[in-house]
Amino acid sequence: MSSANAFVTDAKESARETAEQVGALGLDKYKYGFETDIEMEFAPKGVNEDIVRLISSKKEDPEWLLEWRLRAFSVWQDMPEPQWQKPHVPQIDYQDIYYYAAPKQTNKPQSLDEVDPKLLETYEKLGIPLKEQEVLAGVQGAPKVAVDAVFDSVSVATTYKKTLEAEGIVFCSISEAVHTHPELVKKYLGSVVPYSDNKHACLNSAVFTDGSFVYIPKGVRCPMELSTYFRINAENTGQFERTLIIADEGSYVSYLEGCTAPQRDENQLHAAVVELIALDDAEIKYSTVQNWYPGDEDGKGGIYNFVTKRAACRGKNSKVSWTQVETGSAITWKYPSCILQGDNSVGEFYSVAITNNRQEADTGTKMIHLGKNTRSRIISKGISAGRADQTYRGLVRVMPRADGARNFTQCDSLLIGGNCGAHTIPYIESRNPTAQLEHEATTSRISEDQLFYCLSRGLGEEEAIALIVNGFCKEVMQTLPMEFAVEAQKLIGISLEGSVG
Amino acid sequence: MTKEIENFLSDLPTRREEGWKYTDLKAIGAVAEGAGWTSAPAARAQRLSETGPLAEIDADTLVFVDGNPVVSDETSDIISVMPEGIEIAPRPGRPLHLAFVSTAIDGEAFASSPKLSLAAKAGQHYALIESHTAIGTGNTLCMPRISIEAPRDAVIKHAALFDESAAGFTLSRIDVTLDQGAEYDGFALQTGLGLTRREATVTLAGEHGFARLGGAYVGRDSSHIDNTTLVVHNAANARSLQDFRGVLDGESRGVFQGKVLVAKDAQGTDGQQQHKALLLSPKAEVDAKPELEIYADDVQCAHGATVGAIDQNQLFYLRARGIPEDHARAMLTEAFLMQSLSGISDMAIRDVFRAHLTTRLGDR
Amino acid sequence: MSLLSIKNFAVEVDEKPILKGIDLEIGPGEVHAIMGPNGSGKSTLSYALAGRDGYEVTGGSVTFDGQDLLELDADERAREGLFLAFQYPVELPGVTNTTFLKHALNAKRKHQGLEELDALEFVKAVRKKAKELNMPDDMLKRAVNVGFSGGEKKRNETLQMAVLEPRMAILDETDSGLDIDALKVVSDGVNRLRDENRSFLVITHYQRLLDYIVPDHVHVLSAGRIVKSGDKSLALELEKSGYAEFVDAA
Repeated sequence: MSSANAFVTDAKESARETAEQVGALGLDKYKYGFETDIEMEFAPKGVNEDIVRLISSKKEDPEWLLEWRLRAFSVWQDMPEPQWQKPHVPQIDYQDIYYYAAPKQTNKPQSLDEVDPKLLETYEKLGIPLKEQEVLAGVQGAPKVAVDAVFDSVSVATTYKKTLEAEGIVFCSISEAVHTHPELVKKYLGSVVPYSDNKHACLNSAVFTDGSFVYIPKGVRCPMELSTYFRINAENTGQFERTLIIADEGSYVSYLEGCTAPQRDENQLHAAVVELIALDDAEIKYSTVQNWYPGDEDGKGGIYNFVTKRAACRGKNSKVSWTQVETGSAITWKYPSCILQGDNSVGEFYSVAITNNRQEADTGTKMIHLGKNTRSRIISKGISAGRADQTYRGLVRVMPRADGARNFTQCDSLLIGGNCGAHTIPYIESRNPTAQLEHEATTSRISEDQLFYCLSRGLGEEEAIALIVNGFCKEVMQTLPMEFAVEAQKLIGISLEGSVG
Repeated sequence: MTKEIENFLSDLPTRREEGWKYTDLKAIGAVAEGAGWTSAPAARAQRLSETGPLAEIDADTLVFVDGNPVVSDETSDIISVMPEGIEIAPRPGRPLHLAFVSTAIDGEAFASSPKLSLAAKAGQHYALIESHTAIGTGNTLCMPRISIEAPRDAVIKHAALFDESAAGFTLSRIDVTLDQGAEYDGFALQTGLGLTRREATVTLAGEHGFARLGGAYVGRDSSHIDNTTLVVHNAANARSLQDFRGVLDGESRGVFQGKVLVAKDAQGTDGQQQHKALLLSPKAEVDAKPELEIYADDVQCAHGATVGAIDQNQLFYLRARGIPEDHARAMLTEAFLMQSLSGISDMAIRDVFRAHLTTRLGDR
Repeated sequence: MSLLSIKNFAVEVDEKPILKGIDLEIGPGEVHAIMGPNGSGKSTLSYALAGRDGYEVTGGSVTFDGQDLLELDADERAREGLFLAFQYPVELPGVTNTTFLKHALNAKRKHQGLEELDALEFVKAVRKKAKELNMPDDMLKRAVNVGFSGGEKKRNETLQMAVLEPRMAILDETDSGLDIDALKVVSDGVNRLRDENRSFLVITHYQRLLDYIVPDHVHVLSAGRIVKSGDKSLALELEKSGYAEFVDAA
């Protein structure tokens, strides 16, 4: 609690913390670059119909799901790669990737005690509270967070299940949900992101191995944050997780997602799909701190993060809020979106994206206004440093029936150093004369005056930059749940390390 | 027909191409497949006719009838017609009116692609007027390309009026290059009934250059008005300003694709861009894509875009003073567009534009 | 006979009842003041009388010179001679003050079956009235209220009132945001317009304004009802004791 308050009220103190953290890292700039040595089970490299069938049988899919995967696979084969993004994406050799890698286990663990201690150790290193007792033993007043941990292709553990079950909340891996709640999965899977949506989502539909599933029943306010932690560990492995969250009428859930990967010289593909469904009067808050390995200073290695995230605000008065802090990945291609179908529904997108060194990001959102009096709000803060290149790409579309629709968009970019790029590409489309849309964007750098002012008060240059950047991002950071905000804020300082010329 | 048009027609851009996402040229293809596009017969070129409201501005006038230049005694010493295009040496201080008139009547489909290059002199001031009007109601496809080289400290003021018929397609392109300290101040008023796309590219190639692109448009019936701009900052300490406003009624569609590109060495750039649109009808549409592409860090760049309806507070305020609702709406619509005309420095042109705008708003 | 007769007037905003039965009779030449704490419904009363959308009349009646006011649209009410001086005057970019006033005045004259004013005549008349309000000529050429200070906006409202010569003027918190000098100028402008036929409804939170525009009657509005009426001494009483007793009473 106190540290979170410090974030809000005393940015200077927190900038110091950031600087200390940077110092403590020494040469190991990517804190999560370690690898876990654990016995893995792999399917052969490459993708074909047999691999899809193999994954399906490993997951003990019902027949309809296998068919769905196969349909997706056949569409995927003829589908072109997206070309419109600004980063040049090197040709991906889809046959040189493992599509199934799982920690070897003879039986499914029944409780955390049966999970391989090495795995638990990995998550401990990442600072993820998998063991419930650790959370309980933590600082007094620390909120409980239920965690679903996905290691390479499979979910290894889900905590707090019992507490949640008491409320009727389902929080489990999606492969489990396929068996325990087939009617929900069948009804909603692919209903927001159809498998034919784009090349990456299509591949995911064919080969997804795990991910999280959440169902919040009518009128239930989820008593704790739900969280998934994704970890790519194995070499040459793609990660294709799939998340499905359904908030039934009048319910509320806050969901956190974190991700890391070891430091490797080759590029690894992460092609996830996230689908959110909010029914009447329901609200979903989805927060991401994305810290996949970004590659080294020369752009060697790093994750290709090609993710399709979309929410359907189906019900009247429903609300979905996306918050993302993007600091990792070699290439990011990601547009968390909202389809505002229900009358009076609300979509929000808050984003901080930091690119440094040779990182490239093309990220933003889409807000599709279909229902009456739908509202959307977009706040995007982009920081580009080193030789990085970053693009905000966002679509706001108002359809003829969306009487009284409102959108406000604010996109600000900050450039650090003269070798990076920052671009803003909004698409604003209105077909309703009662809609009101407003877009503003600015691009600037940290002014010499600001910097000098900080230095003259005794701050180091990196400290000063971290401080100013944190101020620049404040509006977005404030929307993160507290325990995440502190983490994210530190990450900003670390990500910008070495950006001062 | 020119090679250029033939090539263009044989490979029409489609909406799958990013730059043509919002402007569909299928109708041009349909004419090609139907009556077929032809060049206007030379005889027509003798018919000099009225060139719209800008005719009342005293200027050297160069008329293009269906794409063919009509050279008069007045203009013979400033233009030379070359195989690769028309070279023009405008007189400093004397306005030059480039008047494009379409005369095609029903059943005809005239295509032309006049190519003009203007050479200005260092330190001199020029006033350029451009108009696109129609006498006939037949199909016309006019693809004028104007290129302007502005050497050191030259100043060019440019006012353009696009007021074509419903069967007119105008795909115009203007490319301006500004050397050190040079200025380009352009304004386009678009009120035509057909399909108009104006691509304007200004390259700030020298330090301390200044470029302004202004525009106002009225979409009515099923008109389609597209402004696609690109301002390239290649040199340091230059300034650019883009300010477009549009009103869309009927089933019309407005498109604004504006881009500010700041190259790596263009430090000290100030680039501003704004597009505001007012939608008046449930069948009208507006699509805006204001873009910033920036590779230098010492910059001040911003863009803003709004789309909306008439402000209810303003409407109530007018009505509370006894002004009937229809009248109040018309006043606010006109005021919305008139604000952008204040960017035109030549009072005579501003007055002509104001009057024309009022007429066209009344025609809705 | 009353010029404005308000009977059991009830108004909802966003389905929330704000005015819960107002009775008020204003005779020709009378100045009535309505005072009340924040949220008592003062602005709702002025907007509802002026005919703003979103102010739903759920009960009662209002007649203006014997005519059913509620049957009329906002602009018709204005042309009949009802004037609302806004608490927050609206900015009209691109519309100059002169153009605005001319359109408003001619709309009214047309309604009255009068000829439109000759442009020169009109400008002369407006300039004279602007001068009385200490408004420089260039303010007439500027866009309505755009870039005006709080005091300038209120003077501009008064100018419009002077030009349009209404039979009934509602002043909605005209004193808000004014320093003492601006308040005097605006009050003088209003007082010049007082005559035996023209009535005023002055809505205010503070007594201060009523030192300058002295009312014949004072009413206290609380929670959507008039809870007390009296002469100008009631305002002074309120200044001393505050609204607490009325808030409780309501």
